[in-house]
Amino acid sequence: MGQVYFEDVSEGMEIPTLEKNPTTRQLVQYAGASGDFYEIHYDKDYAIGNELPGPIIHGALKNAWLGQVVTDWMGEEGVLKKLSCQYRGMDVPGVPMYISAEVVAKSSEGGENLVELKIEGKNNEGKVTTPGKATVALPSRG
Amino acid sequence: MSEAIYESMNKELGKATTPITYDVEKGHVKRFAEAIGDENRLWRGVTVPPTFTRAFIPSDEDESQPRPAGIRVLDAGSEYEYFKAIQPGDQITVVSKIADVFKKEGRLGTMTFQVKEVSFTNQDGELVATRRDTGIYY
Repeated sequence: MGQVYFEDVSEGMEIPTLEKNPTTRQLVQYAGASGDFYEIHYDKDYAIGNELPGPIIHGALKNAWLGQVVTDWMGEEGVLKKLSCQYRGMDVPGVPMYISAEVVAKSSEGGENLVELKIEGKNNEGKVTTPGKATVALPSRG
Repeated sequence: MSEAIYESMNKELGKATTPITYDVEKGHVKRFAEAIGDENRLWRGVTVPPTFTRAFIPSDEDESQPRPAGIRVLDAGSEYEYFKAIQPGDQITVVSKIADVFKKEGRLGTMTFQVKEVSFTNQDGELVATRRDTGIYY
Protein backbone atom coordinates (compact mmCIF):
# COMPACT_ATOMS: atom_id res chain seq x y z
CA MET A 1 0.00 0.00 0.00
CA GLY A 2 1.27 3.49 -0.84
CA GLN A 3 2.08 6.26 1.60
CA VAL A 4 -0.75 8.53 2.73
CA TYR A 5 0.14 12.20 3.29
CA PHE A 6 -1.43 14.71 5.65
CA GLU A 7 -2.60 16.86 2.72
CA ASP A 8 -4.54 13.92 1.25
CA VAL A 9 -6.66 13.48 4.37
CA SER A 10 -9.90 15.26 5.17
CA GLU A 11 -12.45 15.03 7.95
CA GLY A 12 -15.15 12.47 7.28
CA MET A 13 -12.87 10.42 5.05
CA GLU A 14 -13.22 6.67 5.51
CA ILE A 15 -10.21 4.40 5.47
CA PRO A 16 -10.31 0.86 4.03
CA THR A 17 -12.26 -1.64 6.16
CA LEU A 18 -10.50 -4.71 7.50
CA GLU A 19 -12.36 -8.01 7.48
CA LYS A 20 -11.47 -10.75 9.93
CA ASN A 21 -12.71 -14.33 10.03
CA PRO A 22 -11.64 -15.54 13.47
CA THR A 23 -11.43 -19.22 14.34
CA THR A 24 -10.83 -20.96 17.67
CA ARG A 25 -7.50 -22.03 16.17
CA GLN A 26 -6.56 -18.36 15.84
CA LEU A 27 -7.50 -17.76 19.48
CA VAL A 28 -5.14 -20.57 20.49
CA GLN A 29 -2.43 -19.00 18.31
CA TYR A 30 -3.06 -15.64 19.97
CA ALA A 31 -3.05 -17.20 23.45
CA GLY A 32 0.38 -18.66 22.73
CA ALA A 33 1.81 -15.50 21.20
CA SER A 34 0.45 -13.10 23.83
CA GLY A 35 0.74 -15.35 26.87
CA ASP A 36 -2.95 -14.86 27.75
CA PHE A 37 -4.10 -18.40 28.47
CA TYR A 38 -7.45 -17.60 30.06
CA GLU A 39 -9.52 -20.69 29.24
CA ILE A 40 -12.66 -18.78 28.18
CA HIS A 41 -10.90 -18.13 24.85
CA TYR A 42 -10.40 -21.75 23.73
CA ASP A 43 -11.98 -24.22 26.17
CA LYS A 44 -15.67 -24.58 25.28
CA ASP A 45 -16.67 -26.40 28.50
CA TYR A 46 -14.87 -23.84 30.64
CA ALA A 47 -16.46 -20.96 28.74
CA ILE A 48 -19.97 -22.43 29.08
CA GLY A 49 -19.28 -23.02 32.80
CA ASN A 50 -18.63 -19.27 32.99
CA GLU A 51 -22.05 -18.53 31.50
CA LEU A 52 -20.60 -17.63 28.13
CA PRO A 53 -22.02 -18.93 24.84
CA GLY A 54 -18.71 -20.70 24.12
CA PRO A 55 -15.16 -19.48 23.55
CA ILE A 56 -15.02 -15.70 23.05
CA ILE A 57 -12.44 -13.64 21.22
CA HIS A 58 -9.73 -12.03 23.39
CA GLY A 59 -10.50 -8.33 23.73
CA ALA A 60 -6.82 -7.69 23.14
CA LEU A 61 -6.99 -9.52 19.80
CA LYS A 62 -9.81 -7.25 18.66
CA ASN A 63 -7.72 -4.34 19.90
CA ALA A 64 -4.89 -5.62 17.68
CA TRP A 65 -7.24 -5.51 14.67
CA LEU A 66 -8.23 -1.95 15.51
CA GLY A 67 -4.51 -1.21 15.42
CA GLN A 68 -4.05 -3.09 12.14
CA VAL A 69 -6.72 -1.14 10.29
CA VAL A 70 -4.83 2.04 11.21
CA THR A 71 -1.27 0.84 10.57
CA ASP A 72 -2.32 -0.69 7.21
CA TRP A 73 -3.65 2.71 6.16
CA MET A 74 -1.05 5.11 7.60
CA GLY A 75 1.87 3.58 5.69
CA GLU A 76 5.45 3.09 6.82
CA GLU A 77 6.07 6.80 7.41
CA GLY A 78 2.99 7.19 9.60
CA VAL A 79 3.52 7.08 13.36
CA LEU A 80 0.87 5.76 15.71
CA LYS A 81 0.64 8.01 18.79
CA LYS A 82 -2.45 6.68 20.56
CA LEU A 83 -4.81 3.73 20.26
CA SER A 84 -7.73 2.88 22.48
CA CYS A 85 -10.73 0.61 22.44
CA GLN A 86 -13.62 -0.51 24.58
CA TYR A 87 -15.22 -3.92 24.68
CA ARG A 88 -18.95 -3.35 24.68
CA GLY A 89 -19.99 -6.71 23.35
CA MET A 90 -18.57 -10.19 22.98
CA ASP A 91 -17.46 -11.62 19.68
CA VAL A 92 -17.08 -15.29 18.93
CA PRO A 93 -15.08 -17.40 16.50
CA GLY A 94 -16.96 -18.35 13.33
CA VAL A 95 -18.56 -14.92 12.99
CA PRO A 96 -16.78 -12.41 10.76
CA MET A 97 -15.77 -9.00 12.09
CA TYR A 98 -15.39 -5.79 10.14
CA ILE A 99 -13.12 -3.02 11.38
CA SER A 100 -13.87 0.36 9.83
CA ALA A 101 -12.54 3.82 10.62
CA GLU A 102 -12.98 7.42 9.59
CA VAL A 103 -11.03 10.62 10.03
CA VAL A 104 -12.70 12.83 12.63
CA ALA A 105 -10.11 15.60 13.05
CA LYS A 106 -6.78 16.86 11.74
CA SER A 107 -4.43 19.40 13.24
CA SER A 108 -0.81 20.54 13.21
CA GLU A 109 0.82 20.77 16.62
CA GLY A 110 4.45 21.14 17.63
CA GLY A 111 5.68 20.32 14.12
CA GLU A 112 3.53 17.20 13.90
CA ASN A 113 0.64 16.62 11.51
CA LEU A 114 -1.91 14.76 13.56
CA VAL A 115 -4.98 12.89 12.40
CA GLU A 116 -7.63 11.48 14.70
CA LEU A 117 -9.62 8.45 13.72
CA LYS A 118 -12.81 6.95 15.06
CA ILE A 119 -12.74 3.18 14.73
CA GLU A 120 -15.58 0.67 14.86
CA GLY A 121 -15.25 -3.07 15.25
CA LYS A 122 -18.55 -4.56 14.09
CA ASN A 123 -20.00 -8.03 13.89
CA ASN A 124 -21.84 -9.38 10.85
CA GLU A 125 -25.12 -7.87 12.06
CA GLY A 126 -23.56 -4.41 12.05
CA LYS A 127 -23.46 -4.13 15.85
CA VAL A 128 -20.48 -2.11 17.10
CA THR A 129 -19.02 -4.37 19.77
CA THR A 130 -15.60 -2.70 19.84
CA PRO A 131 -15.46 1.06 19.39
CA GLY A 132 -12.08 2.77 19.49
CA LYS A 133 -9.97 5.78 18.63
CA ALA A 134 -6.51 6.43 17.29
CA THR A 135 -4.18 9.37 16.76
CA VAL A 136 -1.51 9.18 14.06
CA ALA A 137 1.18 11.56 12.84
CA LEU A 138 1.42 11.63 9.04
CA PRO A 139 4.20 12.92 6.80
CA SER A 140 3.62 16.09 4.78
CA ARG A 141 4.16 16.51 1.03
CA GLY A 142 5.66 19.91 1.81
CA MET B 1 -17.12 -12.97 46.84
CA SER B 2 -17.48 -9.74 44.91
CA GLU B 3 -17.04 -7.65 48.09
CA ALA B 4 -13.89 -9.61 48.91
CA ILE B 5 -12.50 -8.94 45.42
CA TYR B 6 -13.15 -5.24 45.83
CA GLU B 7 -11.56 -5.11 49.29
CA SER B 8 -8.43 -6.99 48.26
CA MET B 9 -7.92 -4.82 45.17
CA ASN B 10 -8.58 -1.61 47.03
CA LYS B 11 -5.73 -2.52 49.41
CA GLU B 12 -3.35 -2.71 46.45
CA LEU B 13 -4.34 0.70 45.06
CA GLY B 14 -1.33 2.73 43.93
CA LYS B 15 1.25 0.00 44.63
CA ALA B 16 3.69 -0.61 41.79
CA THR B 17 4.56 -4.17 40.80
CA THR B 18 8.13 -5.48 40.90
CA PRO B 19 9.70 -4.57 37.53
CA ILE B 20 10.10 -7.46 35.08
CA THR B 21 12.22 -7.26 31.93
CA TYR B 22 11.57 -8.98 28.59
CA ASP B 23 13.81 -9.40 25.56
CA VAL B 24 12.05 -8.38 22.34
CA GLU B 25 12.71 -11.40 20.10
CA LYS B 26 12.23 -11.15 16.35
CA GLY B 27 10.66 -14.63 16.13
CA HIS B 28 8.20 -13.83 18.91
CA VAL B 29 7.12 -10.62 17.16
CA LYS B 30 6.59 -12.59 13.93
CA ARG B 31 4.48 -15.23 15.74
CA PHE B 32 2.43 -12.48 17.36
CA ALA B 33 1.81 -10.81 13.97
CA GLU B 34 0.84 -14.19 12.48
CA ALA B 35 -1.61 -14.78 15.33
CA ILE B 36 -3.31 -11.45 14.60
CA GLY B 37 -3.23 -12.14 10.87
CA ASP B 38 -1.24 -8.97 10.15
CA GLU B 39 1.19 -9.23 7.26
CA ASN B 40 2.78 -5.79 7.65
CA ARG B 41 6.44 -5.96 6.62
CA LEU B 42 7.40 -3.81 9.62
CA TRP B 43 6.49 -6.63 12.03
CA ARG B 44 9.06 -8.88 10.37
CA GLY B 45 12.20 -7.48 11.98
CA VAL B 46 11.74 -3.68 11.98
CA THR B 47 9.38 -2.85 14.84
CA VAL B 48 6.36 -4.41 16.61
CA PRO B 49 2.54 -4.33 16.18
CA PRO B 50 0.77 -1.66 18.29
CA THR B 51 -0.55 -4.15 20.82
CA PHE B 52 2.60 -6.28 21.14
CA THR B 53 3.14 -4.97 24.68
CA ARG B 54 0.33 -7.36 25.67
CA ALA B 55 2.98 -10.07 25.63
CA PHE B 56 4.99 -8.21 28.30
CA ILE B 57 2.99 -9.44 31.25
CA PRO B 58 3.46 -7.56 34.55
CA SER B 59 5.09 -9.54 37.37
CA ASP B 60 1.88 -9.82 39.41
CA GLU B 61 -0.04 -11.62 36.66
CA ASP B 62 1.05 -15.25 36.61
CA GLU B 63 -0.32 -16.58 33.33
CA SER B 64 1.56 -19.86 33.69
CA GLN B 65 -1.07 -21.08 36.19
CA PRO B 66 -4.86 -21.32 35.89
CA ARG B 67 -6.73 -18.50 37.62
CA PRO B 68 -8.20 -19.17 41.08
CA ALA B 69 -11.68 -20.71 40.85
CA GLY B 70 -14.62 -18.44 41.52
CA ILE B 71 -13.19 -15.23 40.13
CA ARG B 72 -14.37 -14.28 36.67
CA VAL B 73 -12.72 -11.58 34.65
CA LEU B 74 -13.76 -9.58 31.62
CA ASP B 75 -11.59 -7.13 29.78
CA ALA B 76 -13.37 -3.77 29.36
CA GLY B 77 -10.83 -1.91 27.25
CA SER B 78 -7.37 -0.44 26.86
CA GLU B 79 -5.75 2.86 25.98
CA TYR B 80 -2.25 2.86 24.53
CA GLU B 81 0.09 5.78 24.17
CA TYR B 82 3.33 5.48 22.20
CA PHE B 83 6.51 7.52 22.61
CA LYS B 84 9.18 5.53 20.81
CA ALA B 85 9.20 2.52 18.49
CA ILE B 86 10.05 -0.83 20.08
CA GLN B 87 12.53 -2.87 18.05
CA PRO B 88 13.68 -6.48 18.12
CA GLY B 89 16.72 -6.64 20.41
CA ASP B 90 15.27 -4.12 22.88
CA GLN B 91 14.85 -5.02 26.52
CA ILE B 92 11.55 -3.78 27.86
CA THR B 93 10.85 -3.38 31.57
CA VAL B 94 7.23 -3.50 32.67
CA VAL B 95 5.73 -1.96 35.80
CA SER B 96 2.03 -1.97 36.55
CA LYS B 97 0.00 -0.26 39.22
CA ILE B 98 -3.65 -0.17 40.15
CA ALA B 99 -4.81 3.38 39.46
CA ASP B 100 -8.47 3.01 40.36
CA VAL B 101 -10.94 0.49 41.80
CA PHE B 102 -14.70 0.95 41.85
CA LYS B 103 -17.89 -1.11 42.12
CA LYS B 104 -20.94 -1.14 39.90
CA GLU B 105 -24.15 -3.10 39.90
CA GLY B 106 -24.72 -4.75 36.56
CA ARG B 107 -26.34 -7.68 34.87
CA LEU B 108 -23.66 -9.91 36.38
CA GLY B 109 -24.32 -8.71 39.95
CA THR B 110 -21.76 -6.62 41.83
CA MET B 111 -18.82 -6.02 39.55
CA THR B 112 -15.45 -4.60 40.56
CA PHE B 113 -13.77 -2.42 37.96
CA GLN B 114 -10.03 -2.21 38.15
CA VAL B 115 -8.00 0.35 36.20
CA LYS B 116 -4.33 -0.50 35.77
CA GLU B 117 -1.61 1.76 34.45
CA VAL B 118 1.22 -0.14 32.83
CA SER B 119 4.51 1.44 31.76
CA PHE B 120 7.08 0.08 29.30
CA THR B 121 10.67 1.34 29.52
CA ASN B 122 13.54 0.33 27.25
CA GLN B 123 17.16 -0.58 28.04
CA ASP B 124 18.18 3.11 27.81
CA GLY B 125 15.64 4.10 30.45
CA GLU B 126 13.31 5.70 27.88
CA LEU B 127 9.57 5.37 28.41
CA VAL B 128 8.46 3.82 25.10
CA ALA B 129 4.75 3.25 25.78
CA THR B 130 2.04 3.28 28.41
CA ARG B 131 -1.20 1.36 28.60
CA ARG B 132 -4.27 1.88 30.74
CA ASP B 133 -6.38 -1.28 31.10
CA THR B 134 -9.82 -1.65 32.60
CA GLY B 135 -10.84 -5.08 33.86
CA ILE B 136 -14.13 -6.25 35.33
CA TYR B 137 -14.01 -8.85 38.12
CA TYR B 138 -17.15 -10.61 39.23
